Amino acid sequence: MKTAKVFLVCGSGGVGKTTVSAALGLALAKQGYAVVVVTVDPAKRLATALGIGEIGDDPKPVPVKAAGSLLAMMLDTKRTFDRLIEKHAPTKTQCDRILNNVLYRKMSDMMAGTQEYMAMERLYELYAQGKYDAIVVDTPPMQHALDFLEAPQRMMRMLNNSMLQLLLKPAMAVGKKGLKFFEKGSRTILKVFDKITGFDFLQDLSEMALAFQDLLAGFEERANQVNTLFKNPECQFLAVCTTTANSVSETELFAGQLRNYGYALSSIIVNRVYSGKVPSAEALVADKLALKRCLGAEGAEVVAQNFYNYVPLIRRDKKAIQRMTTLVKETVLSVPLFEADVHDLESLERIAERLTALTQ
Amino acid sequence: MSGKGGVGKTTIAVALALLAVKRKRRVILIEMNSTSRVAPLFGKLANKQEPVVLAPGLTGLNLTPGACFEEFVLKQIRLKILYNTFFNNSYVRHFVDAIPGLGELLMLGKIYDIEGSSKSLFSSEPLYDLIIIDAPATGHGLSMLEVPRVVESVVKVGPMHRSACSMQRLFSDAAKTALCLVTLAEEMPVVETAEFAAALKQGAKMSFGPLFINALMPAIPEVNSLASLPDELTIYRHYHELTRRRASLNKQYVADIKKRFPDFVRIELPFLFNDLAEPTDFEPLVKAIMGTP
Repeated sequence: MKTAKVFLVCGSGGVGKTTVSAALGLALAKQGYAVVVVTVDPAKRLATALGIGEIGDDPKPVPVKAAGSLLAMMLDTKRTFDRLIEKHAPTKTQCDRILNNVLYRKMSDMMAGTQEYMAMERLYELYAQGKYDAIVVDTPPMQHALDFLEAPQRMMRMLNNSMLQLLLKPAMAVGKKGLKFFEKGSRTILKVFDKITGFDFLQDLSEMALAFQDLLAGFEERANQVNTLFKNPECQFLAVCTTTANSVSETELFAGQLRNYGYALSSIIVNRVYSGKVPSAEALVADKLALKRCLGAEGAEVVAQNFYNYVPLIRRDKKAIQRMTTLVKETVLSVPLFEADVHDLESLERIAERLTALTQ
Repeated sequence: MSGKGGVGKTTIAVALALLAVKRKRRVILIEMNSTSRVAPLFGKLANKQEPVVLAPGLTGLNLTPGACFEEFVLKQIRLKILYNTFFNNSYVRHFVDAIPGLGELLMLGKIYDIEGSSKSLFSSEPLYDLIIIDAPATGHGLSMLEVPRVVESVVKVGPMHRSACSMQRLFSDAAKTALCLVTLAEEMPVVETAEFAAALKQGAKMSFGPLFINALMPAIPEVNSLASLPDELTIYRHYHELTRRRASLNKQYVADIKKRFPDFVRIELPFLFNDLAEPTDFEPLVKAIMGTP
């Protein structure tokens, strides 16, 4: 039985989180680890990044030249949820009652936090299997990163909500007659919810919530296990960001929120960096003359002007990286901007090379 | 407006709003459940749920499910004190969370209300000529746009059913609503945008507006004997080659987009080398949109 290192890769949408996760997986595999990369992204991007076809809920091997092995999988929220219910439901009837509930069937993945919770669940399943040296999780976008941490508790709070019980049990048992037992306040609340939703909907919802009651103990136990795993030093939080003002401030916010939860951000991977050193004003003049000598006046003009366009970006990126170093406990790595987005193994290798510091 | 994360949805939403204002339209730009990025561009403080005048003719609004819920309930019970007593507590907030799709439905409902509101009690003239919605990124955006349809099918009767129906009608009405997709001319955004468009055609049945192709690199001429540059000038060569290679890839994917989206009006927008910090920085984008037939 192996104890896996766990890498939780966080970041907002579009910063290259999935690509970095895949590259980290590759870097780890090259170090000889048996690695699985999990993506929770609803779009099928990991497969694209890995240059393989469809991937599903079961880890699928990626053909890489590495001392270790690399598997990739995509979270199937619904299937994971079904399995969770099958595992924790005390009876077959209870289990079927939930799985056949119309709300559960059509809308459970729209319930706030479901995706995040199921990602945790799947992570823990893989961890408990003990087959892997490393698990890399590509988490949902940053705006919801805290949902990710809070997911188990949030879902339990929701299902175990005393308001829900108060409102729904009588609604289910005796229909609207139950209302007369309500206090005035609850009645107002129910009236409003009734107005919003319609009575049948509340009834479906109450059925689903009640069916979940017996599962709560199991859910709670799992939530505690996941929390313990997160506190484990083998579990690392990584943030991926770019150098735009927006991404930098989001990452600062995220690091702060993470601290409030008692976790530390291990490393930040700054993606798509305009790298290089901007010459001083005098050097720029001398460079222009040298360019003219090598390329002729016309060529020098094109080449110099193009470089000047990038100067503000190079300066901005240097500052951004400096700001990031104050946020982490380990290291800030930067991945330069390549000419194209990364969607094959070859270009993934170029990023993997930059991430070896994380695999030590 | 929707598209993959990081392709510039907000940026283009702002450029579009500025263009519409230039053409004397009254515009409201709505952000959904985000850290407000638009108001600061205009030097204004973002105000949750309250419309903010950003510029003459341009209003900004940042919607959150919580605030939409409060507004909805207040409309029903009309007494703030009652709301604060019974609704403004964590139990109720979790209850709102517990109802799948309710948050999305409330936000879309608010937009529906804005669409239906008129300038004043005595006028039938609409309050806004154009409503621009900076919708969530495709992954989350898809489920949000699906909400009215799913609710319509799951909740058979009652007010939630009725409002879902009318929302679905508005959003699938080609004369009123257009879904504008934003992409980059790169592999992953193009593939994801195509998947998203296909899924929406099947599901939410929305009609599409123009497709925005953002951040295209300028074409610069090839320069001979670049390889002969001495080491200390390598950085010039590096960035020259970067621009050339990115521009040529962009060109390739623009052709790919043409093939994948033959019926779309495609609007090509340039890569901007400076950060967009204030409204005038959007001028090149506004011009590019205006220049597209």
